[in-house]
Amino acid sequence: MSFIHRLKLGALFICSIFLTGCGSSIATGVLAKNDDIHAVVTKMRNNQVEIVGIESRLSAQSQQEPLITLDFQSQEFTASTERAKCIAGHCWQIIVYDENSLMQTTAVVERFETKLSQALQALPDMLFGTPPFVLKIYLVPPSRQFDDMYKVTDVSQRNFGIAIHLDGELPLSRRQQRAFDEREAMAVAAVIHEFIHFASLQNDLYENPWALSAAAHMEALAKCYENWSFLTTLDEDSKVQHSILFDPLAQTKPDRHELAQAHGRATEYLAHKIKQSFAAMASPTLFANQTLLSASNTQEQRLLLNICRDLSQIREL
Amino acid sequence: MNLYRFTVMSILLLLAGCSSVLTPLIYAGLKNKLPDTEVEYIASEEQLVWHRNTSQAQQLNVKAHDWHELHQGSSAGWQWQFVALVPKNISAQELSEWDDLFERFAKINAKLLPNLGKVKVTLYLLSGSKQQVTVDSTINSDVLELPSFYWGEDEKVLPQKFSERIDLLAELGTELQMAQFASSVLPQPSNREAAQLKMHANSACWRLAVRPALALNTEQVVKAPPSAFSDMAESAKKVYQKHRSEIPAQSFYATVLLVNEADRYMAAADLNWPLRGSDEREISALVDFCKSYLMIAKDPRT
Repeated sequence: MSFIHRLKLGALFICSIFLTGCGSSIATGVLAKNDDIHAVVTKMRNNQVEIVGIESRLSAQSQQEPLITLDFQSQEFTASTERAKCIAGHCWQIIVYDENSLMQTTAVVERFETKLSQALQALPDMLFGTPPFVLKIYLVPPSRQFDDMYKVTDVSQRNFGIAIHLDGELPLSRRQQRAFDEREAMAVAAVIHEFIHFASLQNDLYENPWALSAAAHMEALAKCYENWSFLTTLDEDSKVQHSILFDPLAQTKPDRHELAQAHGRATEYLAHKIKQSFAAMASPTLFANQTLLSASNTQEQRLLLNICRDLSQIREL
Repeated sequence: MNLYRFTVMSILLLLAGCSSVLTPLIYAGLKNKLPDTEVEYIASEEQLVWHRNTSQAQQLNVKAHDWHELHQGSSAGWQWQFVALVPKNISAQELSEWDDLFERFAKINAKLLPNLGKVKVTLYLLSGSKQQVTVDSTINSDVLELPSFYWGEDEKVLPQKFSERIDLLAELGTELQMAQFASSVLPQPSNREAAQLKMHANSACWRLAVRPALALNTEQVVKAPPSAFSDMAESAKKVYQKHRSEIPAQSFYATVLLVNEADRYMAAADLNWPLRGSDEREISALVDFCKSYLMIAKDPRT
């Protein structure tokens, strides 16, 4: 799901945190295993996951225009490089939404690519595949909203497509810089999160990938690296505040979808580990139901990465 | 459609301007956590009557108990006193940290409220579930008495984390402001409804500006409001219109309005929200914003 959705969700709960000090978080589960037209998302029923096909297209909307459908293959997208780039076992290709003047500048794309590759390199070896996976990242300016964001271009080629929002130009003011940094970090975090789900499933890392404990583990792993990559994407002087929420809202809503349980367990697990490890160093970033971090919290970032690495050594929660 | 997609769609609605779908849900979730303090001013007796936790069934009669003094301190015209029903053990270190925070708090309040004279805070430290309390206090040119209540845990009489301590002080500040507002020391719009909202918007200044100011020159992290506030103004208004008589609804709407107004002020100065105590410029700008905001009798909705 798009990073901007996640951004808004985070923002929403920070609203409540700001007002009173409560909060919660839910994230995604995704499976991609189909032909070249469809991406797939998962749905859990009786602790078993059903696979639901979703057309792999972007339903985009600008402020002026009604909803239109953008095909991933359409000529409105232009690859920034002819071939995918590969470093440390992961490959990616950036494809830019190129309609009139909406195209991202080279400086924005290059900056994003550097940060994404750094985040990818930190991922555990278990996610590598042979031949390597290719992430196709479709950059869409924030002026165009979109709905579905996944695509598997060709399973045999192990390609995973994901669309995200990214600004068109580098910012000019401090205020714009904050918004830019936030969107960029969200974009990297979203790619990392979804890629972990995709690669885990494609690599058959789970004996029974749809048992609750395995689904929760996959989610915890994705959530952990997502949070870590958000923080490491920020420049040192960035003014973005990042919130990791501890309160599993999903568990308190039994009528909601059962996939919620996996998210709840993942949140609970991470909350426990983060609280334990941050409290041990008397981190001032711990709040009642969340931790608030920024780029300068380097010690906390290292601890978070350790938690993610420990998590990658197990397969179930 | 999985849960996440459902949530995401909801958020997309928010993004697309349909935040009215979500804001009532946020309000419903927050309602019990937002303060519902009311204050009446009786001019002839220079007296304030405080009604706290009005939604609670059980009532605490403050005068029916003998209160043990646990601590007292003073600085710059302020006195603070901690009392409890039974003697409690608070370490000298902890009390010294509280004295330091109260000193800072007194200085910030003196800047925000230039007409503030002496203040005498009595903090009643209680444990267990919150109870309804009605209590009198005096406000005149000599002294403003501020009786306040903190419902802690048995072992932790007072909040331990810095973030929780400044939350407590921010709540004290909102009540200090309410006292000045109710007694017309602070200007208020003539329209009753606007005045009600202005009082809550003023209070939001303590949560928005005073919490970071208490962290000034420290490495403490402070909460900043998210960008989503800008999308919430219309839907918060609808929530308010639906629950007009509820204090939490007034407070919720007024907070959204105040944060948006402050955000415009900060944007004009090309400043971000303060995120920690070292963000000196941002902290100072927010205090300046609130100082001028408090002195204007405008309707927060305009």
